[in-house]
Amino acid sequence: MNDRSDPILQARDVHVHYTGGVHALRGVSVHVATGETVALVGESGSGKSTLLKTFNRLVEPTQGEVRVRGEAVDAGRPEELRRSIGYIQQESSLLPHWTVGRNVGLVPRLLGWPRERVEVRTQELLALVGLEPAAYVDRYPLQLSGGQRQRVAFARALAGEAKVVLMDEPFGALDPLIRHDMQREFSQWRERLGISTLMVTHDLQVAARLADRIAVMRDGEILQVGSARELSEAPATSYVQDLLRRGEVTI
Amino acid sequence: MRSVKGAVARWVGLAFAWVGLALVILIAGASSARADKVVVGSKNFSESRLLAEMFAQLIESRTSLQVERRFNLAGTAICFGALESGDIDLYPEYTGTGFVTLLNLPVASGPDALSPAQVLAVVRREFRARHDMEWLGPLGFENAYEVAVTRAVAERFKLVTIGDLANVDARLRFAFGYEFMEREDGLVGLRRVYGLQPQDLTGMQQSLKYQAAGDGRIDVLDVYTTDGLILVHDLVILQDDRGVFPPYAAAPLVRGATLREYPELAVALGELTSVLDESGMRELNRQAEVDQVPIETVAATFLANLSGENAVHEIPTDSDRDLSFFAYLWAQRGDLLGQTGTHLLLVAIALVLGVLVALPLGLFLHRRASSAETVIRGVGVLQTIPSIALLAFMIPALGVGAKPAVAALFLYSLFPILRNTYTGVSGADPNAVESARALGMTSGQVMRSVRLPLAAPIIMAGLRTAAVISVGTATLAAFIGAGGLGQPIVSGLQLNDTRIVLSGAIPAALLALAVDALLGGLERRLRPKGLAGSK
Ligand SMILES: Nc1ncnc2c1ncn2[C@@H]1O[C@H](COP(=O)(O)OP(=O)(O)OP(=O)(O)O)[C@@H](O)[C@H]1O
Ligand SMILES: [Mg+2]
Repeated sequence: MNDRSDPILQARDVHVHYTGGVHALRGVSVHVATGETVALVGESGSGKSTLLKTFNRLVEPTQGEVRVRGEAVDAGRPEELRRSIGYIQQESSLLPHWTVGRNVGLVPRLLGWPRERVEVRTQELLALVGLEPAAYVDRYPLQLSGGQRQRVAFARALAGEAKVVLMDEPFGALDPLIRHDMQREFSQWRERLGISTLMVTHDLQVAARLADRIAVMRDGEILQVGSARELSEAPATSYVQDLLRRGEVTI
Repeated sequence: MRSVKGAVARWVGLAFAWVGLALVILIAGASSARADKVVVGSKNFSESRLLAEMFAQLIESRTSLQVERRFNLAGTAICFGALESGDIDLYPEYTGTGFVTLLNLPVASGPDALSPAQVLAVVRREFRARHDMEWLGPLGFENAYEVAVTRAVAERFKLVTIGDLANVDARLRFAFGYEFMEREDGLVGLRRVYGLQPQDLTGMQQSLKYQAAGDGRIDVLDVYTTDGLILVHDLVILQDDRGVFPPYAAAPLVRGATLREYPELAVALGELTSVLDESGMRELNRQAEVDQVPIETVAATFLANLSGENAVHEIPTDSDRDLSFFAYLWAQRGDLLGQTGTHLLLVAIALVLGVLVALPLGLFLHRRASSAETVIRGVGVLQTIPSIALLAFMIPALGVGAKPAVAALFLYSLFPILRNTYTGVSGADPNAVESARALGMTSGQVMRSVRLPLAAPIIMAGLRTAAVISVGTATLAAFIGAGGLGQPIVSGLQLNDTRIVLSGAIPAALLALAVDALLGGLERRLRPKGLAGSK
């Protein structure tokens, strides 16, 4: 397995040019240590999603180095890399024509697990995210509430025993009450499964509550990385200072 | 992923079942063509059908050959093309048409004009040399193009010759057949020789022109010498004193190869030489067109009188013609059922082939997004070719009958299936697709397990569009001898009998609805569970 000292995710001087000329990342370096949660914050278009996707190769950097568990991401097949990394989007991204059970069992099946093991794992994960397995496995996504769908998305991202999860505004589309519950529960799941997380959020309160460190992005660059306390005590630029004030971060 | 595999397997299975069925039918059709059989063709007007029916009955009664009838081929080019390719063995043709239209020889007018015998000699010699075809003995009557005017117009302008007509052409309303307008021994020659310049000219079908003249909506029309309707509508034929119209003697035109194989054909058809004059033919045409006696009966009665026997076919009573529409439909149910079957088969084969080509092409284009729009638009251009033209284009390569019809329907089905496949697959819910990729599906798995099932309703909608278009377009297949529900529509148009037209048009419309409903049912079965709209 990975060496405790090696960061589980690491980007060094990463550039991304999209076709059409957008220079979305301009030399970004960031890492996530094992067991750590790092939040990416920044305004719309600053490159948060782009950075996230370089780790599972949905986006290929034009320059720079991206490593997962110490290995360059382009060393092997992208499918194998992706099966080892959880991924959760803001919008419900469940396959609408598959039942909840099938959605959750997706990665284990891709990994070639035997059927019973897939089933046991599916039930475990549904129970973990607070959905009674018997009542939900055979439902279709359309038959769930928005919050339930996002719980299933968490279960699916974690079912293949991924030790690292990429999350792009996972609570963004939920209504405030549910969002709060899910954030609290997410901390528990994280502990239970021992996962590391890189998480995009536009909500500084969420970042402060859930993340060990926060990376502030702007125009394809990272302005500052540090704990919420470090950022508020010593903002690197006036932009970071403004951002913290507008986000009304209280520590 | 079992149920998706199941859905794909159902599609594939269904497609193979249809293709299998189509192959069986094609093979069966091909092998039955090997029996001792001759195919008699006709053009799409009643005199041609009547003569062809006489040929057919005579061959059936005088020889042991089987006869297949391929009537109603749309015009000279298609009929002659069918003879040349061997799709038919013989059909009634006119020497003048052979001379002018098929051999492209110039018509000498005035004193240099050729006599009927000279024209026959030329076409016999040239067709034998160029096409290995034989003109058998002419039936005796001439059926030339003529220019006719209503009696009122003839008297008002004192019209006797076509030259007289050319002096007042700006003041009259003309309606000519489409073929006539393009022929050297038609409007082209009239313009050149008489300087005729119609200002108000409408293209119109033969049977409609008479109706229009009778109603006083037009003044001048082209007719055939032997048309029975000349009598009915009291038209005056203008003299062609400068000889634009060459002699048109009707005669069987037969493939040389067929005659060598079955010399008895020449003997049998020889019985028809010089047995009909203009007034005799005009009377037979009147019976068929005005009295609407079935051509089988007219032909049988004529042949029986010829050989002194009693008619084998009974002449239908008048009450048969006065049947209500529904009673008529009921009386025709046997024919209609067969035509519906043929119709469905043409459509089904074309659609299966369409799916087999357009579906994979749509999936392929998804990977070639840069060229996709160009290719799809190119296929879309096919859609803009008028159906009758597309059918005609097929004939040189595929002959007449079911093959060119299926080919044309197939081409029309490509665009809706291709467009919807491409759009459905490319537009499949981007969030679902991204999450499937992000969690480690290969691009093949994303296509099979995500894009294709999500696109299934849209692809099916394209298939339904294609099916409805096909059912409609297939009615035109009758023009090239493919049969189907277009057959009564074509006959009805020629006889100007709405009842016959509707006996094909209404079942065709119902068939379109039924096919759409059937595919709608299939769509609900194929629509993956969990998508909006599925139960
Ligand atoms: N597939 C793409 N092709 C071209 N340009 C893209 C693509 N995806 C993103 N971009 C551009 O790259 C830049 C960064 O986009 P990105 O999605 O990473 O921003 P973000 O920080 O996630 O924004 P948001 O908070 O709105 O999600 C933007 O200017 C965007 O327009
Ligand atoms: Mg984003």
